[in-house]
Amino acid sequence: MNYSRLYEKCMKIRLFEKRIEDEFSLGKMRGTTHGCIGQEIIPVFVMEQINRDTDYITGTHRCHGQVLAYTDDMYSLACEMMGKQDGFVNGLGGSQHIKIGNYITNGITGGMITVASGIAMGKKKNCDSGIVIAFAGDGGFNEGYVQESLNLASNYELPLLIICENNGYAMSTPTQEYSAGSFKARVEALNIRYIETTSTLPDVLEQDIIKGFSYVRNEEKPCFIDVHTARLCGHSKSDSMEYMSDEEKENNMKSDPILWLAKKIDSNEVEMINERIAKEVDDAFLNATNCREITLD
Amino acid sequence: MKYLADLRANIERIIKEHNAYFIGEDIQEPYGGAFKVTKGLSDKYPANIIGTPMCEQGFTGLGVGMALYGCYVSVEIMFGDFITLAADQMVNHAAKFSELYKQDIHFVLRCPSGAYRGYGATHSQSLEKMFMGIPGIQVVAPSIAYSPGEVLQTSIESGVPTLFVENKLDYPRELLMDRGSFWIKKVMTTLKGFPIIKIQPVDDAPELALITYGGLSEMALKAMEKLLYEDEINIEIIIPTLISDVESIVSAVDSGPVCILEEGVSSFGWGSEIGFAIQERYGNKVFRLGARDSFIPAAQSAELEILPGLEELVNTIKVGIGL
Repeated sequence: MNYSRLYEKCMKIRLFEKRIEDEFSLGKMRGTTHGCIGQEIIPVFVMEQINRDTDYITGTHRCHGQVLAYTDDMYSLACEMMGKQDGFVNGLGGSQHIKIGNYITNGITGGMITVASGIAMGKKKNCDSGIVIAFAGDGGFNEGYVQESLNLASNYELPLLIICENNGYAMSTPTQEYSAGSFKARVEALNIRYIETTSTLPDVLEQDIIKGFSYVRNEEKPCFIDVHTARLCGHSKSDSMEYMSDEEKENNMKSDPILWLAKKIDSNEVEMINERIAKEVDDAFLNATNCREITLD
Repeated sequence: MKYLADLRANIERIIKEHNAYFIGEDIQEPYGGAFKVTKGLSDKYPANIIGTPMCEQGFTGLGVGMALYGCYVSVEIMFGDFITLAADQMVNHAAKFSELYKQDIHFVLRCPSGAYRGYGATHSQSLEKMFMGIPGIQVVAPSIAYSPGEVLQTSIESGVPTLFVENKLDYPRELLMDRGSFWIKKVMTTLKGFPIIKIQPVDDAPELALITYGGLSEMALKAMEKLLYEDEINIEIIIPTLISDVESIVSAVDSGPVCILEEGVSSFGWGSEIGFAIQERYGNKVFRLGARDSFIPAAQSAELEILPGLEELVNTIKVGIGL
């Protein structure tokens, strides 16, 4: 594991998301946003494993980390969020409606799982190589169509890898309290390979993600990786996180995977990386501010 | 040729030309679909006819995802009433991929719809108006006036996600072109290649234009004959197929009074929109006939009371033109 490279990738997402929070609090941004602070390492590890030519990735509403891990393009994401024409969808999609290359996401929780199963079915029917990676959240897991799609994926034996970014909350609702049984039991009942892991142990997480990828690639069957993680920011811009105790917040802060990575690197290097990314974020937002808005015909 | 046979023959052609996939409940052999539309096809094309469990949201999303990947796909919703289950995949997914992400989505959601058969409240409705006025998707209704299979092919080739509304009463009907009728039939084509069929009994200026689509085209023809034989009234029938495209329908209308006939509930209906647009453009006198504000009762007399009927249509037209 190259710790400095991973740290840098995660930190890019972290500082981008922090900047988004600042821009909102200064009233410089419109619309809404769903931050992934604390969860950055999941998409970073996932995108390390993809085949950029043949794999497809579907995202969630909480997609900035996924997009940056896929593209490393802060400028276009900043433009998209600010409604500028250099955005991935010319600024018309905004925070949660993005398509770039083989990555596509949308704003309906769990909805993209149904679409991901279809892309996987298309691949299978055409005998094309590559798999589909579908990000999902624990909140969306209770949506009926997610269960329907898991059933279809298992029945049709689709090459579908589901990465559940399980941050324990559906907005403010603790998922566990409102979910009967367990995700494990539900997934395994459908005869789908289930892997449980956590983002607080990045080295374990990386191995589990690799395991999931190789299972889907080799067995050509679906796999569900349930990644326990913690969101260190509100669900969206208006969320002050009153539903989480101070103790829980503190524990989450302590188990921040970025801290874990930083401890593996020399502190001078950490500082250098931080400075470099801070400048990159500044440039991205400055250039995005100067970009034009698209005019519709 | 019968409507059902035409549809089935063209499904086979679409499979051959585009390696298209047809997805749905009970569509494989030995059942061949609740209305037998795909009867026999899974034996010939086992890879292309995909059976599903009962999960409209799941398999509609599956079809949309396949289309996003580049496949030609048609999903069958067994009864059109169940499209409410698949609404999210059409409105919030397929429509957005097409309109916002500028993707060609070769996807058709086929919905056998319509009443007059005693199937009751949840197996008889015409719910297509729920999907009209949603940018990024289109609503298409074939009828006996023009090959439904060709219209299906135009739909799937268009690259725009399509709700395709078949009327259950139409399946056993003979297509108009094979009836040997002497009515004058003209076919116009919209920019997107969808036919608009105009039918008149005699080649004189009509006293009224009757606009309808789908299953009620048959009733419109009967009304046209009745008015001609019994009252010497010459009306023109206009049957669009791309029924969500207001502009092309309005463009097909000339001066003179217009009656709009639909099987769905009148209020907030297709007729309201088309009628308003015609009036706005030309100032024509416009009136309409559709179902009453009611669920669809199973009892025959009650069902016929709330749905448009031939006598009611003829009278509406006569009153509309001042008789």
